[in-house]
Amino acid sequence: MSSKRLTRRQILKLAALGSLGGLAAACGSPATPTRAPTVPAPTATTRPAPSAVPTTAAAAPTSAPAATAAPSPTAVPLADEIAAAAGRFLSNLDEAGRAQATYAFADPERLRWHWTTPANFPRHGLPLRALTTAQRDYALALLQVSVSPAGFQKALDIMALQNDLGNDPELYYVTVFGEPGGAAPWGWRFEGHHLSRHLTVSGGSVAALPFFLGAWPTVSGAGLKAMEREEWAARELITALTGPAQTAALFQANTLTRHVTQNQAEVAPLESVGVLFGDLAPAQQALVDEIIRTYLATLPAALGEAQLAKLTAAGWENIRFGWAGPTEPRRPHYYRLQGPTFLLEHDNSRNGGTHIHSVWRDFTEDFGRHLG
Amino acid sequence: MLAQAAGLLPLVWLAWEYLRQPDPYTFNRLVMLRTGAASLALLVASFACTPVGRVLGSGRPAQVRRALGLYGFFYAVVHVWNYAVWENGLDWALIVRDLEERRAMSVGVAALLALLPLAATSTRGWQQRLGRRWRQLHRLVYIAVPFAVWHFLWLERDRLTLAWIYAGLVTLLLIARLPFVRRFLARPPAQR
Ligand code: HEM
Repeated sequence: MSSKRLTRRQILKLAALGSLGGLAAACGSPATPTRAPTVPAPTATTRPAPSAVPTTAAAAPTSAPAATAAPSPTAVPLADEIAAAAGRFLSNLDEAGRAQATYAFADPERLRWHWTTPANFPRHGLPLRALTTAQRDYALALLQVSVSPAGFQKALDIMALQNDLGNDPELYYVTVFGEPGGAAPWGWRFEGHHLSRHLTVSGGSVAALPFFLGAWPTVSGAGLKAMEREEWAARELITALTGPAQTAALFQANTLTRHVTQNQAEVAPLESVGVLFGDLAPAQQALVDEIIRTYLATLPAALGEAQLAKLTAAGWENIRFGWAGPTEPRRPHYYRLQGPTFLLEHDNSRNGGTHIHSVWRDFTEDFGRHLG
Repeated sequence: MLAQAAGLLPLVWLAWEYLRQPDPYTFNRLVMLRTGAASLALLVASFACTPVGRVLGSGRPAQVRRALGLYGFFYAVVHVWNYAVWENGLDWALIVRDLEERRAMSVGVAALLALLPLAATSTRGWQQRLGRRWRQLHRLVYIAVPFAVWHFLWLERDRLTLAWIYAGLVTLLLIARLPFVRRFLARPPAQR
């Protein structure tokens, strides 16, 4: 057990060590890592490093390339990499720890998720807090291979923000469902306050949806802005709109009080509100594109690209952007991006518009339902 | 004099923090936290006056009880004003959502409601007008102070050391009011 409190910098260091340790263990030689850790440099006051998802094209294409043109989400190496990291994590636990961290794949626990503090919604699994330094490194290494570098950085930022809230930045739980690397489907979850990531692996395919990202405060005492562009790109968009486009986008004068889909296991499309992507000027379309890419950039590159391809196939022109509430900064607001296949809810109605809850949902792929 | 200093210190502290960190959001959050902390500290200090006076065999703590309590109430009002007006723009939907979601909020409201009649009847005039009923009414402090601590404890934080210290302190102060403990404490030290 470790009672040490981690600062953001320490979390970063641990993560770097974790990736080194994990890789070294995979190679059977603790002293000789095969590649440098991929932990990005701290971004105390700026947004995280650019994504692994390509950020070309100012305005997203409105004509859909064939879905098959996109890299397959069934990238075998990723599935193997995640399984190996999960195996290392589990094999470095003692019997009791393993029992606490593991559930059957079919257990309802897999779909029981939340973004609030563990004090408010008890989590099951093993918290980083209960792990030894080495075990914690393996847990963070598992997270690192399951998201992109930008996603990993965001996770660390969100965890570091807990220090501002009187919360424990190590109360993030690792829960494994099923047996990593086996023939049967398996999955794992990394979850705590404002962060919920779900991985499902089946037959070499990986699904990494849904995911929840939150930030409070939006600017920490030390100046950390964990979700700056997610908030500001949308504000730039709503304030750039005029006339009928603005009327359509501003679907409610007051903010919604919370994100609509809450912690549902499965979601259906919400009421179709907001302005259509096709009705936006190119510079405004570029902002929609930026928001979407910023969120998808937290997924491993292949999965982010696959999501973009899917979204493109379903038609960017069918995506709607809606905003509720005042548009000035630090006023409670909410926005939604919804397309035929996905829903992004971004709620910033708490604490005077300085507390973000956001969730990316997919109508068919959440929790790997489509993997069969 | 000491009570005035204790009561005004948080204001000086906030002014200093504003100079250090004029960013409106950060300051707003600091107001939320500092006024809550100041209110609780002053209310607990006021609550401690009677038993402390008894132990010390001095009437002086009782003289500052009212001032400390009123300052505590003042900071509670600023705390809630900051919450309802500055943070939530008096949007009732947001406030109701918060009351539903965060159980600590309802407990805080209960503490504040219990304090209202105490503050309103704190003058000597009211004390005389109400007579014996004034004492009965002021037993509401047994709700206000424990509920304020409960509010702190229920803020859904992982680190609650200070809140537990307050909880322990207030429990002791409540025990000190039990008749037999009170009699024990009231005895001159030599006889104890
Ligand atoms: C007598 C009444 C009250 C007292 C003594 C009190 C005291 C406190 C204290 C000690 C804190 C923590 C400060 C810190 O961490 O430094 C706090 C936080 C807070 N209080 Fe109160 N409070 C009272 C009533 C209320 C009411 C009525 C509300 C609103 C309905 C409220 C809303 C809050 C909020 C929003 C926070 C910040 C919590 C967070 O960090 O999430 N309080 N209060």
